Amino acid sequence: MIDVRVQGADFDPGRQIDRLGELGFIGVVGLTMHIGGEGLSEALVEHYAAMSRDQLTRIGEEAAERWELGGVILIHRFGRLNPGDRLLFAGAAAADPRGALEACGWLVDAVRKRAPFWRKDMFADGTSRWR
Amino acid sequence: MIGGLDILYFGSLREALDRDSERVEPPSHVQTVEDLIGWLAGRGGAYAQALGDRSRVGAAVDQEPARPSDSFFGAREVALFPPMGAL
Repeated sequence: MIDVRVQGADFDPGRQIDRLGELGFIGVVGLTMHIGGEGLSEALVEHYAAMSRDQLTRIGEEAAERWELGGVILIHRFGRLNPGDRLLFAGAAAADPRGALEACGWLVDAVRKRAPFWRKDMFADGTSRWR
Repeated sequence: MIGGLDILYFGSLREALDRDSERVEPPSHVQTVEDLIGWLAGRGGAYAQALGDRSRVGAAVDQEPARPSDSFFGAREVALFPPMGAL
């Protein structure tokens, strides 16, 4: 199972862990990345809608093959987000718990480098910066 | 090129060029992604500034990640963007 979602709405990480757990594998790991940064007041996350879901799916498929995962969930949000808001969920289920753990770290790195999302940070002092 | 080529801009490139897309008709000698970026940068002004550092410009041809040496022959759209990632 590879479930990829690109959405503006928030998500419940606990629910995603439960969904992976329902697949029946011993190892279930989930990582949630949040919006944060010193002095940050707001972040604008945009994406290439025609490409982002396919790229995330490709990343999920690569991880599934490499770590023999039984389940992968990737959820990436876009739009205007505030400090503390959830931005990404990366979850993996596998028979080997270490595989699930390694896969989650790899998923986050791969999304960071290869998913067509961009973020502009706006700061309390009125400045802004693209990451 | 019949009908032209749609160029899409994202992130800081979109902001620097003050547009999210445009339709262009590159000359016949412009065949690769690298050629295209160079041709656009050759317009000068904001284009030269935004596209001048090629190491900071990524591309996708018809929604597929592309290398500088890749051809865009027959493509309908080319997306140009800064390094990917919002994390």
